[in-house]
Amino acid sequence: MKEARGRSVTIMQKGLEGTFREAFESYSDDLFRHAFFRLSNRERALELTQECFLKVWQYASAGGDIRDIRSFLYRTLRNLIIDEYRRSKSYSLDAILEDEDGGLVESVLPRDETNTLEAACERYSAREAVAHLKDIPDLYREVLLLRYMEGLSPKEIASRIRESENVVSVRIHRGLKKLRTILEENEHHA
Amino acid sequence: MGSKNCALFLKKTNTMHEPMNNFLRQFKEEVRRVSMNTSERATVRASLERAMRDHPVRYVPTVAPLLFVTLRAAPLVLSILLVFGGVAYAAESALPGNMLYAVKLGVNERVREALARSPEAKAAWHVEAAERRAEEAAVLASREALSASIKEELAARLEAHVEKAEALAEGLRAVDEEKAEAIVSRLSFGLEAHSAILARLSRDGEDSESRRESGDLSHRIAARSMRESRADRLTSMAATQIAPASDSVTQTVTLTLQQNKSATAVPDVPLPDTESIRQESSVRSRMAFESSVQKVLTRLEKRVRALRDTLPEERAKELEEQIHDLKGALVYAEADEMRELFRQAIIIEAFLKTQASIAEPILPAPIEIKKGEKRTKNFDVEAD
Repeated sequence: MKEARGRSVTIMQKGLEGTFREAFESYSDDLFRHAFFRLSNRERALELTQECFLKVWQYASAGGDIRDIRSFLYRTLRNLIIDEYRRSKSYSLDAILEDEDGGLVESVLPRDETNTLEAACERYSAREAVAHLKDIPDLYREVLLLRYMEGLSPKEIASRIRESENVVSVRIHRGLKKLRTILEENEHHA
Repeated sequence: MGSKNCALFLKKTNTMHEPMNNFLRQFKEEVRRVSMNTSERATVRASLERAMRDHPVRYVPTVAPLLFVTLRAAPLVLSILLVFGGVAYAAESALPGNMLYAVKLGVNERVREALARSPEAKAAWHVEAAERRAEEAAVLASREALSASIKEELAARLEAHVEKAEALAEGLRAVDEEKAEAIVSRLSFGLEAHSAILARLSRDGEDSESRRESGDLSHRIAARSMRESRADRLTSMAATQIAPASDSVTQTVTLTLQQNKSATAVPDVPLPDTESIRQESSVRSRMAFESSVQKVLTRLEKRVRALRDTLPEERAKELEEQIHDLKGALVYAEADEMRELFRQAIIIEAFLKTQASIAEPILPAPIEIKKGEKRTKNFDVEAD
């Protein structure tokens, strides 16, 4: 009986550690990438990626229940990024906060609008756009990354960041608008 | 573009449910250029391996002993412990100085602690344990039996539990900020409540060692609660929105305390950082508290029903009304208000629980519930 229990423990241990190792191989790059574009700082992004895995391991090894390790990792990374902003004074607040009406959502956006904006960005180089990601408010940047880098639908983004789908759509819209404006300005100065 | 990229593109298109234009495809390729290089990856992997080695999974019994299969309420645990004689059950109400107190701490509480598996369960247990110490102090105070030495013992144990709860909540914060916040608020409000209870018990009657001691313990717990709520606020998501809980602590403490040192004993709590991410915070914070408040209210209702016969009619009615008002306020509450409702519910619960064990009337709890005003919520318009 004791032996059997011992065996199941080993399986369980392998189970969790194995899961973590797999998760590392599968998601570490995506997580790093996300952190990198949010923080515009490679070193911090690496540190946060590492901390993310450590924190989730800490939780799991202490008996925390983890059903979906992927969402745990993303959620933790998200919190770490938020902490990073709050903690560090070197991040400009403009970069974080919305620059318009304080985030109030006026109305539903017609679906077309965003498509139009997406199309409008066509004339710009993607490389330029990526380079200017750091110049748009983080609130927009986050959803743009989730939408266009990770390919999540507005609904998926909404559940990930705990906002309504409408808020997500608006942010994507504003983010694209802002990005296009920057790209336009850039073009004129070029 | 390599075929690998095309494959990725195709896979992602399905997720996006729509055709991606050229710009977006290139955008995606461009961002994907960023990734960890081999040595960076190796470094991070190594630190994870180190963590797995240093903090291995703790043994979790795969074949759960029959005893621990369903482990919800303390009553169940206690009824199981009845197997070992009615001792454990009787020990639950034991106080320091009583012979059964050792059983309460050494058996009952040890079992409770062991049954808590996850970090959040452990933290919740330590919060409860801290409150148990405070309750014991209150019962002794009501009997004029709180000596300096017993007070010290209780204060020390209480502090130990608070520290453990804090540490666990801290570890939980990055992984599950809602649970962490719930734990820290629960702790802070519970301490605040017990401080007020002890203050009230120390107030009336002749000066005695017991009354002095309960007054002193009340101060200490109040100070602890303030530290807690300050820490909570600095890390809390709703930093800009929270109604200053410290003011109400001050009110509570000064209203019920008539000793001079109360005013000066309350330290200044720094205002929260007003530049926090506001949008972010309100939704998350609201969700964090809403279910907590509902749980407490449900517990409260049960308790009032159970105690109805032992409470004076007036008090029972009062309580029912308070619960009713809280429920009403809950419907229209925004994030910051939600937290306040949670606070009020916790305070009522603490007072009620303690009242059940002591003769001296301490109800009603010193809170003021704003009658819920109907107002239009600041919601997004739903998509048609």
